[in-house]
Amino acid sequence: MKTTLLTILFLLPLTLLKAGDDYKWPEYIPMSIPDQYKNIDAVYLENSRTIDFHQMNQTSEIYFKRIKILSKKGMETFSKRELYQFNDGIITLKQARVIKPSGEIVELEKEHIIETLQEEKYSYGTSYFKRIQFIFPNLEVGDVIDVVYQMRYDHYLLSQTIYMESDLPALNARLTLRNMSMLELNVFPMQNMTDFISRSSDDIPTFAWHKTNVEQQTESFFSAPAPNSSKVSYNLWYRGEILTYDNYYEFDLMQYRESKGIIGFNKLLQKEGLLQDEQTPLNKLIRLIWHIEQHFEWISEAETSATVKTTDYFSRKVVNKTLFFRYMQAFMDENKIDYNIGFTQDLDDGKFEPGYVSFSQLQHRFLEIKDLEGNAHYLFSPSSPNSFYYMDEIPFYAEGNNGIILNGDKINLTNAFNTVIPVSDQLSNKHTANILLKVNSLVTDSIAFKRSDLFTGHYSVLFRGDNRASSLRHFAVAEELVPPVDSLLYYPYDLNFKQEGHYKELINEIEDTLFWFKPELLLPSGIYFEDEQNEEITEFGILPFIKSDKFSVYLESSTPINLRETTKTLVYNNEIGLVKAEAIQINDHTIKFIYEIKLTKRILENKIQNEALQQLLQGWFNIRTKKWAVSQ
Amino acid sequence: MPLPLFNLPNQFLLSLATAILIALFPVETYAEDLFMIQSEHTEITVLSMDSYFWQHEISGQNQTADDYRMTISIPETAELESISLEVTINGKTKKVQRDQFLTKSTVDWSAFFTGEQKYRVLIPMKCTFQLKYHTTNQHTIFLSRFFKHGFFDAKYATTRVHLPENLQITTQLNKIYSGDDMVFDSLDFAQSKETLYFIVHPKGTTPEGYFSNWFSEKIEPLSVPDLQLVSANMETLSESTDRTELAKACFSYVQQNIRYVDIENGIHAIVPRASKMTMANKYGDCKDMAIVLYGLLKHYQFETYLSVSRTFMKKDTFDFPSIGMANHMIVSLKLNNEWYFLDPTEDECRFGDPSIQILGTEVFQIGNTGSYFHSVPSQPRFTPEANLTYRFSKNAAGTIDLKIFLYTKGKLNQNFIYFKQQQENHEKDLRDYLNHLFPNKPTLDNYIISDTSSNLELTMQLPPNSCNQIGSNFYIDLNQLPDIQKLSLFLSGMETPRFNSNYTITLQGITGPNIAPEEAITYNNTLPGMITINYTITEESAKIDSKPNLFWKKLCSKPLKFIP
Repeated sequence: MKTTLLTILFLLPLTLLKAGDDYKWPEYIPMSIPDQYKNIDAVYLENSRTIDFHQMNQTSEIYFKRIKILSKKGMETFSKRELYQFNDGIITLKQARVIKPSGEIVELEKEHIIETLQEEKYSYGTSYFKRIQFIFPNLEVGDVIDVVYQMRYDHYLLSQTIYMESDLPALNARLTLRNMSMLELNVFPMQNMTDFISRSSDDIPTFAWHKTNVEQQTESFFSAPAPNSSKVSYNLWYRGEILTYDNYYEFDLMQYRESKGIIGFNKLLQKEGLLQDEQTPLNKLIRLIWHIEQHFEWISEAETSATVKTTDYFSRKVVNKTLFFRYMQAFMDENKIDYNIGFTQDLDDGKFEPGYVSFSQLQHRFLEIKDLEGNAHYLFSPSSPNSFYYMDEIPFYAEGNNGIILNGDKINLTNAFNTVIPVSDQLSNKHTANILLKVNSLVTDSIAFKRSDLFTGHYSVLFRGDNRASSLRHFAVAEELVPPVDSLLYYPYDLNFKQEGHYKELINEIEDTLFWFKPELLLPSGIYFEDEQNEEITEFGILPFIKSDKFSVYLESSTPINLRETTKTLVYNNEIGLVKAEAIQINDHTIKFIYEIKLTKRILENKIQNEALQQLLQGWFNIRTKKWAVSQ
Repeated sequence: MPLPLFNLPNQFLLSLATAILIALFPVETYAEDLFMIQSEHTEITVLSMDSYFWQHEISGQNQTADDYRMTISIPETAELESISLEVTINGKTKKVQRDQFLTKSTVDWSAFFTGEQKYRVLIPMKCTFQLKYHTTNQHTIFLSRFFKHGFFDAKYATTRVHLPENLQITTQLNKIYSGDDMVFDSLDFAQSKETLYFIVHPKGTTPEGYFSNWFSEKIEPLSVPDLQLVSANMETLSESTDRTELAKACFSYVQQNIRYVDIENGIHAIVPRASKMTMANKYGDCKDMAIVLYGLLKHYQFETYLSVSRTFMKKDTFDFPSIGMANHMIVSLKLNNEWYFLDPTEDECRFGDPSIQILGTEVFQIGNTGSYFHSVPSQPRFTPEANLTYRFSKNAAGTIDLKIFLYTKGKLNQNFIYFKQQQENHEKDLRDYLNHLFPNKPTLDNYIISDTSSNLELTMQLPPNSCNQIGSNFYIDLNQLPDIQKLSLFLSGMETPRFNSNYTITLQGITGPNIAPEEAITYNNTLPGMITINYTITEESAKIDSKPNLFWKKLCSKPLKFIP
């Protein structure tokens, strides 16, 4: 079957249907703009995408966009449209025109279509990048721009999930899939996309969707397709067949389990001194992951050859995503650890939809591992040398998404069942800091400190590999790299840093006996990232993880000190979370300051919630930078 | 089996980001002893004023463990006839196939014109190499500069020039060279200069005269405007005696109707497109916009000159007619016996003010035989000003409110003019913009934006980090207000503004501590509950450690007592 598939993909005869240079523009019928779009800069009257699967391993995509300019800003934005072409896929058609309010049509002449390119030679090949600029002359508010272009790929786009939402709202959004290949085209329309036309015009199997009044989809750091987005997944598969988990399992076996030359893996590990008899098999597996993380060199997937045995790669001490799973599975097979294979997709790319087998959804592979008590544990692959995940650590891109678990033996799939990837809770992801500051007098430049920081859950992942130093700086723990004094062997992998030293510029004198105490330097500047306040607000956003942080700062003086503030508690909370600071006079010599960040909502479902996140961030800034009045 | 394109959008974005990064930050810095150009030899054979050959030989070594990418630039109008690369690795010398080392890049990511097309040459790791290329070129006007150490900072660089009998080279140092075989080396350069600017011109002509005529011949036929496309108002103004209003209308027409789009290819690298075409298209680059304005002013019989110019990005003083010293084109207008330097590419620029990018630079006025070179004033005609008043007061809830009054004028008003020009929905954009200065989102109570000045009023409740309440007393922490540097950056849009601006900051409702004012800062705390600070921001004083900013920091170092 595998050989057959390769033949189908690469040896079929070529008959490519081209859009050609004589593209026939769809008829223009003036239409009124609904009130809800009247205050925006531009709107798609038509946003149409047609994907053709040709006879010989080629795919073409025709994009037709009809844009109505509604404001001066829109005119400036859209007067120059740019397309980009890379090594993969070439643009074979590019035309544009302007329809004036009078009905006059002005074709964009070649001099207004500027092509520039950039090539770079590398040892592994050439990178190619072409920019095509459409420059619309004499563009005015009220004009309609028509742009059409065709991308051609010399291979099949075997599977995609396509959203109808785009960079502008669309009065009409269309998607057409036409299959002229020898393969079978299966589609899976989701949400509100079940109303479609399926026909076989001129013997070309075609699926077509037409949606009206489709909202805009924005893109920024935390953005993700909203659950109610209009989307369609498709697969190209063998004629007369539908891609099932059975045949995908077969494919997976070939990739990870079959004939990869791993024999006597235990012996190899013993030779490396990695296995100790008193450990349970699962503990041995955890040790193996650490060993690989610390001692193996990361290589690209392209550097993995099918002709090289996996044991040879292991001996060379190299790893990538594929090799990682081969090592893990080889170990578990030999040590009779029960496991299943699972798949999910990045939550930022949308929800995994159960009930449909689609390559595009099987984005992230993981292992569901059973311990001796039958409890399930999750193991995800690293995505780079700095992002190894340990047992039961679920990457935040997968948390809470649906997935599929495939259970079978070395030949066949036995069961496939839907799963929901667990979500970590607020208490699993913590940064707890205890900071003791000791002074003899508040009149001082340098303050002795003892500090202990504990990171758990997702925080712990952020400190892997080369990321440790930057994470320590980012979370205001230390300017330089410090080693953890303690790290927990099991989830949530507590990571504990302890330090002693001196801080400067935490106190300054206001007047005779009155001082400002400034804990700002001791606290992280943002909730997740430093510059997150400048992020664009999106309609639908997914925060990395929910969490609860607590920072306790003790200011201890050998001479009496007094907290002078009338307001001792500062709080800002909203539907996303809470930020808080509290100052407490513990005794004559000690004042305690407690700072808290609690994130209660991870999925932000609308603009209002996103604005609430921005306000929470500003609230944290206002609290963190508070200077407390104390006296001596 | 590879499964292609599962994640096309991600791949697309990654490739785009990579391509942009490669374009913006080519990694080409190595220790000198590891990558070195030993010698560069350039041979230029001029056939006539309109054509010449260029041969370039570069020898060097790449002893790094990485491939190295060299960029070679040739003029826009040149053709690369041949190029060869010979490398010696481990004692073995071989010729590299052209398709294995050469790529072309026509993507220009900068808005500034270079007049060059770029090729990228891949030099393998651990080799010595010899690169040779040969171009045929049009227009000797593109022959404009020699580099003391060649294009690649070579240890040894020479340039040999062959000129026909009727032509000569004049350099920026006023030296004249002629003959069939001339060699230029470091001795021909001014002592501290790395670049020697020159021009090839016929014997019996002056460099300035030739340069001016070269442009004039090409430009004059292109400068006739399409008067059907200008507003009737302009025709009416042309009949009035107010010449300033007419010139202003011409400037405004180009500024508001022609969009700046930087498309500069072939000879259009330095010569504008026809004025009528630009007016019909309603877009163009700096030259296209300038020639439309020049054509209109000329039509209305102003004394005006299309002017080759430089922006402040070009560091050498433009005092010699070489296109290598220029990168911009504007219009010079003599009105009421005064020079106006008009750059319509700056959308918000007020008529009469030079654009920010040409302040303090020079222009070459094409056709002004009396005096080709002129200096653009280093300061705007209309002095930029900003007055910012903070008024602290107690509200009904017993906490402190802050009222902010902002007045801007001249170039400090340009950001606000931008919002006014947007016409639709600009209020939301204006609020978002103001939030960069005052992130606690004050309410925008009132605003008036005009072409000459703006007034804005905002109100906010003081956030907890801005106030200490001790008993019934309030102390205000000014650290949460924008400092001098941030304010300057916000209003001028530049980290180091290229013009001087006068600022006044008034704080009402707090006591003024006694601080010795710094030089060039006026500080007044004599009135109870009132502090006034006056200072001037210059290119130097906009920096974070400048005197005004350090003075502000000093003022903020302690909280100030609130006076109800």
